[in-house]
Amino acid sequence: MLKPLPDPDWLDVPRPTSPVCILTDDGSPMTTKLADSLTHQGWKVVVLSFPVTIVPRKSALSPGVERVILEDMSETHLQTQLTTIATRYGVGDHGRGSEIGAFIHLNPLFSFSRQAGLVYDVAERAIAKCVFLIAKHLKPSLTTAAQTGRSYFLTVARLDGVFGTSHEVNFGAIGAGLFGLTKTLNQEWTQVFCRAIDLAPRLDPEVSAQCILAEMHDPNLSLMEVGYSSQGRVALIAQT
Amino acid sequence: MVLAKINTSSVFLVSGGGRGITAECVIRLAQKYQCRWILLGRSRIADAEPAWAEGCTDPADLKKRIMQAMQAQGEKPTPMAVQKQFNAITTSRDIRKTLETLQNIGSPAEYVSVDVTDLATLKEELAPVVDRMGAITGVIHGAGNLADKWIENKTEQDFENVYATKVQGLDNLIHCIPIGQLDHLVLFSSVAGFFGSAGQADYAIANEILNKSAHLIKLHHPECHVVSINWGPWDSGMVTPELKRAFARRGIEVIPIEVGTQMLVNELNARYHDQAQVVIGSPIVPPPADLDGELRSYRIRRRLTVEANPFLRDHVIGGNPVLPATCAANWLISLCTQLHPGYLFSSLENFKVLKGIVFDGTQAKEFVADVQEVGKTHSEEVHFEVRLWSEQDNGKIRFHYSGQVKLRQELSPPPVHLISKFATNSTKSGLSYYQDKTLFHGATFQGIREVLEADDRQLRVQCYLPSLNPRHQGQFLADAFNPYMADVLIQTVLIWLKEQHQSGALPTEIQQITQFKPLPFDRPIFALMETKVKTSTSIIYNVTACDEDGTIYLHLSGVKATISDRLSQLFGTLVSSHS
Ligand SMILES: NC(=O)c1ccc[n+]([C@@H]2O[C@H](COP(=O)([O-])OP(=O)(O)OC[C@H]3O[C@@H](n4cnc5c(N)ncnc54)[C@H](OP(=O)(O)O)[C@@H]3O)[C@@H](O)[C@H]2O)c1
Repeated sequence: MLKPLPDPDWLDVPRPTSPVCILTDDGSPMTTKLADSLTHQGWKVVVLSFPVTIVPRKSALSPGVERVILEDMSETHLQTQLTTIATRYGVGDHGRGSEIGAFIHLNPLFSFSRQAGLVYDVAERAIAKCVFLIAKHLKPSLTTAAQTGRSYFLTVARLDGVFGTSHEVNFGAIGAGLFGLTKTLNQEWTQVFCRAIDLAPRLDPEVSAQCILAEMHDPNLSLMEVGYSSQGRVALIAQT
Repeated sequence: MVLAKINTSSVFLVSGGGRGITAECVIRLAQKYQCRWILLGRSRIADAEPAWAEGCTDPADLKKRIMQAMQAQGEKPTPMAVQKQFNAITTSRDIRKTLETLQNIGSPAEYVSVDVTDLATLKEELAPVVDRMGAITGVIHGAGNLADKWIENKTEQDFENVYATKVQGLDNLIHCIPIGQLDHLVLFSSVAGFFGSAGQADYAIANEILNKSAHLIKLHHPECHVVSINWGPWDSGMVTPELKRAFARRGIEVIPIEVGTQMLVNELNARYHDQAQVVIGSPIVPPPADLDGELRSYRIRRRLTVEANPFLRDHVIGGNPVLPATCAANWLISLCTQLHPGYLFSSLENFKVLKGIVFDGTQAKEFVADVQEVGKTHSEEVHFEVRLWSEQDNGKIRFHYSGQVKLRQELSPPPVHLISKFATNSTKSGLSYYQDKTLFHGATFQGIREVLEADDRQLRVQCYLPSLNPRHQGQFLADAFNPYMADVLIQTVLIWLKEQHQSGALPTEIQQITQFKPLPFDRPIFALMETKVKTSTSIIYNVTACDEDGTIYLHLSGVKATISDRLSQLFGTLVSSHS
């Protein structure tokens, strides 16, 4: 059952002492907009792009936003690139190699015609596993960063903005897995701010970026997943 | 649309149906419908058990015999090798028992040993069985595997194993049997998907995909009765006795087999044809995080508009919406509970209305709450000091509300007070007070239903509010603390004053709000208002609220209200402006 939610309050989050934010590239202007907003907030944004076989397009990036590319989807290459990000960009003001303070996954839009029926897309499956592995390897960074401020693990899916309950949009089913992952991490990493967001595909990139930023400042730690659509901001709750 | 009913010619294909909770569900359905079954699992059923194993059911004894048999054959009985043989024997027994039970019920059944993740073999193996059993009318996807580990210890292979059985498995099943031909499609998902589950990242991913798959299937095949059941832990199958004990310590209930299987039968009732996802059982949530010693401070901003808070239109004084004091209390309280999930609101002390928020067009756009943790005890209790303020146009700070909030891991058991038992026959309708504007409140707050008794010291009332759409509650959701019902309790003073021929009053202070249980909507609540101190300009009173059984939900002590003729006039202006 959907539960309508008001706009979140805004917690003044202290400037992170580990200001590197890894943002995956969904190949849309949303990545560009969000990277800009995050930079504006004081984050050092590194955009992680998937191989072209997985996400054909790369988003344009503003000056100051870095890009690191995954050439393939293997775990070893992923580890190498995460280490590259930490060593190349993760040096804090005090000269000590600081940790990565935020990870935001923007799932590319997987949307299919009605005729296509239920789709388990191979690229989306590869992405889901990759995000799972990113979580595995970022655990030390994110949990350490949490000791000095709010650190983040966010996943943004594009189902229908109401957790798949609209029965109107033929979204890629595998993106739904991100909610299971993020809710689990929320339990495993109690100090890290974990939230799964579902954005209706029609939301404009600017609004989407604002919604994500608002969620990052939400003081409410009991909320694990939230959706945005023409129905407003909602949570999914079990009916009793 | 004619909704299909299950009958004796229905044919169900059940992955993972040979054993475990899925087999239990199959048996229960068979008892009810005597339908036909094709059960799938990777395990093979041994044609016959070795003579030394026959009739041996005691696990320790069986393992001993396996060891002896291995030694007799000159093999090395490593614990792993023994366990493997042990599993093969018991699995085989379980499946055979399922088949025998179905036969006794009179439900035709076949078991096919196949891996659901292997599409080619699945197709090949299914064809001849379908020829024998008839076209498949229903699928239950119960196959599942676990690889419980913290995320940092998971391997790609763990992900593949757990994910493939559930997701690839479903994909393969619907490749073999077009959904268009199915009357029923049941997916065994888990609360691990719905709530998340520590140690089960891969499993939670897979189950969430099943959940949303059910919604998508509903989109494509509205005529098919598809449901993803998010089971809580059962008293069987994946839940081992040790796990069950651990659950019990954390107050997590396991689903007894008879109950769970009956729930599945119910779920397949045509009445629930359009419910694509259900949760049955307790979530497995970890206990609230241990409190560290550090005391933190937070600054939290909220923008307030009347549009975003529709209830304000029912709390208008002198023509302007005014934030009810109980909503301000809710604000302070919910900021604290949101910062400490799992902790419950226990009390608010020294709550002061320093400058109420009036929506007259000059109010601030943004309000700021400074929330300061001031004490943490025995990882059971957290205390906060909260102050709410806004900045005026001239840059000056204006304080609006303040108070001290206490949260606890567990609330003390509610005391009992039989207010309802004092009810007399000479009751008076509460609504008349709203009509004559003794109470200025609009529909949202019109909760005093009956005045049971009034004398010069106290007042007894019966209250009730129907549940309020969360959108109507705006930024003041009745979760940790119900500000709408609490306002109704505060209102009692206005009736009492009116009965004593006095003017109107508004609360300025509450010495202590003690909560035992959040006040409910949709349920009669009895309230006793007792005056403590009364002067010509102010009154101090207490209110106790309980249900019809006398269970106390909330106690307000030392509510101080300012009495003034002007207020009566303001309440009254509403009458004139509306008439
Ligand atoms: N038990 C619970 O408390 C609980 C709670 C929530 C959800 N569930 C769900 O309910 C279902 C059954 O749980 P259970 O506790 O009864 O588990 P179980 O005893 O481990 O049974 C799992 C079944 O799935 C079959 N299976 C696993 N992988 C397979 C594959 N690749 N191909 C074909 N069959 C496969 C197994 O047979 P083989 O080993 O012979 O292949 C077995 O029959 C699972 O989907 C689980 O996620 C259970």
